[in-house]
Amino acid sequence: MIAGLRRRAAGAAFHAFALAVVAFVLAPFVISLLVSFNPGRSIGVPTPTTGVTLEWYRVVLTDTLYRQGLTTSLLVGVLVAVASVVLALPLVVAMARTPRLRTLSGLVVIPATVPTVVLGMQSLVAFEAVGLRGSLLSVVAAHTMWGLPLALLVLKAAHDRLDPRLGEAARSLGASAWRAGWEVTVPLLGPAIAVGGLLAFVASLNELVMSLFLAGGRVRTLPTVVWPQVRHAVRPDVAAASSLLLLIALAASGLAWLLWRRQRA
Amino acid sequence: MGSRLGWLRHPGWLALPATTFVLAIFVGPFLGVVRVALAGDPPPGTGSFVDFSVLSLDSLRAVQATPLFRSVLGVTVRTAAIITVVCMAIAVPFAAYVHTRGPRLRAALIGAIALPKLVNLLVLLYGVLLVLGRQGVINDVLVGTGIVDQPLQMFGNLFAVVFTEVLVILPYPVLLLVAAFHAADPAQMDAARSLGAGPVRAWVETVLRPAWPAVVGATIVSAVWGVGAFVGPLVMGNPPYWTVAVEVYDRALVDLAWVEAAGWAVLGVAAFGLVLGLPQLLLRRTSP
Repeated sequence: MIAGLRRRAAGAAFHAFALAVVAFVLAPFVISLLVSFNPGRSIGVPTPTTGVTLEWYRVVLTDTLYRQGLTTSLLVGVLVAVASVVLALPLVVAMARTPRLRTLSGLVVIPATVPTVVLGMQSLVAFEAVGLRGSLLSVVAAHTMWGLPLALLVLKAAHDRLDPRLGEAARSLGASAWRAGWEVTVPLLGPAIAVGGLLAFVASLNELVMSLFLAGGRVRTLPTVVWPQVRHAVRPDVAAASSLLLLIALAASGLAWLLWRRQRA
Repeated sequence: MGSRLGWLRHPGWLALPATTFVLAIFVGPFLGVVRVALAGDPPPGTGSFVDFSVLSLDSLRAVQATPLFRSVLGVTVRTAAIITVVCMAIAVPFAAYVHTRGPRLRAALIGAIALPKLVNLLVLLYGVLLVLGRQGVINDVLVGTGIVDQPLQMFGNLFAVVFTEVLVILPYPVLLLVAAFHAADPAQMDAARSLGAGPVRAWVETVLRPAWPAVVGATIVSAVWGVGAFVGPLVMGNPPYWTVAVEVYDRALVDLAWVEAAGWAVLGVAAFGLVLGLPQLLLRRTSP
């Protein structure tokens, strides 16, 4: 009897603990989202009496600095997604055919374990040396250090599940290795390619530290535009700008999840 | 002819673009930072940031000798240790909870915990500012229920730094542990229960123990991200809580002292490599 009660209490405590963790993780996002709809310049959460407003989104979307930041972020994100997949796909094929090359995945993943400030500092030095600091190319290249490992992990997982006999069948029907790869393997990996690209896009969209080191006059991603405001003032338009990033990232991640389910099906 | 050019068709070539990229964008620039750390400060007014005609350990020695570097290194390692312990104290039981749920709830919980990794750090920071602020949710509740008279100061202290960094880092250990626990064989758990073990004991013996390498891995990943902590200490902490990462950023982008910044970065990475790598080496030595 007492043992049963104690077990039930332990179970309830376990549920409460998990609920607290989820609340801890979600609270900042939910509150930030709510504040972005709050009328009035002060920070607060909208209530039935205050109503809601889309004013801060209008401010963000019409402000030149924010708009340029958003456009740059989206452009950089798309380029990083393309670069990450284009680099990862041949590497995955090479690793599958030549087992000795598998150690290369370690080399590709290392940058993801180095403090971002160090990555930022080294990119600053290197791109200054070749005169590319502050260019779109420098930001895309730096973000691809993060995008490439993500695309690699996704593509490798999907490639390992492919039936190797499909490629062999194409080869036995006379296709060259290139043609078999292009017409059989790549289409089969379609959803995984999209997922890898989307994850690289999200990683780039959210990257702040390397962008701070590389930001130049024209090339400023949205996080670097928002950054000084987060440091020095808390304003509702910052909530709207960050909520926009949140919505774009959530949409991209949701799409990635749906595509990944299709790949695995 | 065909056989002589056969090596050109070797699939290994496909690894070349990615390898070249990592060498050019990561390995090369890292060596570049080491070179800058060994260079000298340019004479004022030249418009450059580094004097490459100098190649000596002097700049590195100068950084290493400052009391500030040692104290910041100490702060960084201490903060990282606290972050790691808090992360693991949450991650192990939470991953156990996720692992023991049904597939739907499990997917929802994984989605929730992965959220901080999917969204911008700034959204997160902004949210934390709103949660912990003087007019934030926690203070509202504390003042509203009369637990405290005045709003608590929850910024510029270790609590705020750890709170923020745990939010940023927690997804990694949780996702790693959920994946590792998932590999356990449920039949073993049933067998342990039928032999009389309680649910906790059975779980520890059949799930946690086999997943021990993943627990160690998750701890290392948390520690690696902990020593790199930047945004939390800078925005949520005062200078006493600034880490090596903040000092590198400050020197490189505020003071424009690149040689010093590179020195901090190189010495920091070397110190963290020692702190994180030595225990592993020792473990490998002692294990059969």
